Amino acid sequence: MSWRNEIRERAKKALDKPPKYGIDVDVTKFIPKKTSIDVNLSEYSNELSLVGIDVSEKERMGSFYQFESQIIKAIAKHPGVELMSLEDAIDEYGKDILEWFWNAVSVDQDKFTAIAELKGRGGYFIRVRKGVKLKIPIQACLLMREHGSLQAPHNIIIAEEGSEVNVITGCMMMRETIGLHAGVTEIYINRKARVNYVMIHKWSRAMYVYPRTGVIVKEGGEYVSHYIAFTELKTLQMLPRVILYNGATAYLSSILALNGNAKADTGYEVYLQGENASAQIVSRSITKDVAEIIARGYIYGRAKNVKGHIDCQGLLLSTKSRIVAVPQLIAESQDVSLTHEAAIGKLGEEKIIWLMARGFSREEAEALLIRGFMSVDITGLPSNLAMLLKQTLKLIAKSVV
Amino acid sequence: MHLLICKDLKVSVGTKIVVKDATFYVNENELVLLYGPNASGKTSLAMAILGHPKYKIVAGRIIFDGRDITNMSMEERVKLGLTATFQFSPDLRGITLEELAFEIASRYGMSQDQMFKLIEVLKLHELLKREVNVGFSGGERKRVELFLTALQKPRFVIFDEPDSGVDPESLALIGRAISEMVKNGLKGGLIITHVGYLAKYINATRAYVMIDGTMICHGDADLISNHIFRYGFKMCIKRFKGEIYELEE
Repeated sequence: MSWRNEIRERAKKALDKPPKYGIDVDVTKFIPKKTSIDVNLSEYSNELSLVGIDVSEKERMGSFYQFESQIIKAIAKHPGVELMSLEDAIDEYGKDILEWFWNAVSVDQDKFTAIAELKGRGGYFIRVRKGVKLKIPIQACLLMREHGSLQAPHNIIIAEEGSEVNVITGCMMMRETIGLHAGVTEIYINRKARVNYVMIHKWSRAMYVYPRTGVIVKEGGEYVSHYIAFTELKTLQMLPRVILYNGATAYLSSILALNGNAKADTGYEVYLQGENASAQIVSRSITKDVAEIIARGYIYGRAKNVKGHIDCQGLLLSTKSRIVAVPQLIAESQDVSLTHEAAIGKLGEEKIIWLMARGFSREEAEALLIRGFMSVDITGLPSNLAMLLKQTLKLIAKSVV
Repeated sequence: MHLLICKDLKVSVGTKIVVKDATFYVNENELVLLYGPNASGKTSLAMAILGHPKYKIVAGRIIFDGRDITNMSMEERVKLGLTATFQFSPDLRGITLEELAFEIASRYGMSQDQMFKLIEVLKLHELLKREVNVGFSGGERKRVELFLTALQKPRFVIFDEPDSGVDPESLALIGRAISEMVKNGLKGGLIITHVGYLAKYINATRAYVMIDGTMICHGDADLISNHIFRYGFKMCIKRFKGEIYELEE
């Protein structure tokens, strides 16, 4: 496969390239691992439900499980959708895969994309056929457990013209041990198609997390993304790039509740490339202990009548944590409307007292306020996904108090 | 039978004394008015009785239902059925009124029927799906505050200026809601009012007047209300200061 070798040559040249933002990591000390235990998914059903994975698969249109570097399962329940591992997709499509392979993300972006190409294993390939609308979500579960492990799957989602797909990805480190997760995700949304993408992360305090995501939305397409991380971790850096063509829209939220020593640098970068495109970036950052979050948002207005808004809110739950909001608007065309709002603060004592007068304990009042703080617009999601998000946020609110 | 007694109460916020000397009582099944000009210490008194941690009781005692609650925490006092409506209630982003209402109602065993009755009385249907207080008008806030408090089925409520900044229509609704609360077990209330608008919509028996952190007189509710309507607080000070405590005709 000479085409693959060409890509790999490009990757090799980027192996030392540090990330544009966030903290650099020596990626050479991590290697892909096999799992040392037999995997019986039902044993982990409670833990997995925390990241949105339903082991019973009742309310799921398909399931993909990857444990370390091994694919455990990849099954779709609908004839209009293909769901398989990336390796199987390359076997099946051959060189044709190039239409969706390293196009929305550059293989030489930095050392993390490079290592994903050179050492990564697995990842899912989801292709939804023209006009097929799947309201029930497909779930993808990526688990890590081994010491010093590298998990760098390459995921591809393709929504063909007029189709709709809901994807929930749950990622988790199951032990207190060191690891690197550097998943690549490329999402291609064609004319008038829609993708709702929910990703929930739960790591451990020695985890390095560097996902790389690129999304291309064609005419009239819609992309909704909710990223949720409630966790300790070492470092997390990601800045998914979303390109919107004529009349395409995106709603992009990140909800982070970090504790311990965690250092995160996250957000979205949006290019309003076509006329009448519009996007909203919403971030809700919560820090405890000595955690630090840099919440970024970049919107480039590049065409007529585009609209963009960034809403960046931070909540400090300890005196030694730190939040930085970086909302940036870049107008490169005259007829653009770009706005932002940002606010960082602590829980209002008067609100807590008022709720206590209404019969809540201090802890209950705080949990309620945190839940309210984290709420984002979920009206675009199908009801079961909206419910899942609500329940997850409720759980997080309780756990951070 | 006295439901609430405050005796020689002195309250401070930080280093400042905000209530100098407050002695009063509310009987069981009685609604009592508390008049006073701005900044006379009425809200401080309310917050001290509620147990707000910012308001320290430096002298005096509070007896509720025969128990000395002077040193109880706010949480304990609320558990006894004592609470207050706030003059300025906060915005709660991300929480709908409906969610919060169900949350409170389920804690206090308020039935759905009772809750729907309150929603009807206070005309809150259109606000239920909205975030609590976010973008609400003054009158709407006061109605919501009363609604959420009513869901607690309290035994005693200090209503802190439920009538300030409220349109006449809302006034009548608030009056009706307080009657509804009585049906649901309210045994007594202290209604703080700057202007006394609410006086004609509720059946108050007695009234107190507080000026400059001190209770200066008390008496029949109508008598004191009429007096304040006609002469304002200035006259009230002149007439009562240092002369008579209980007002007579």
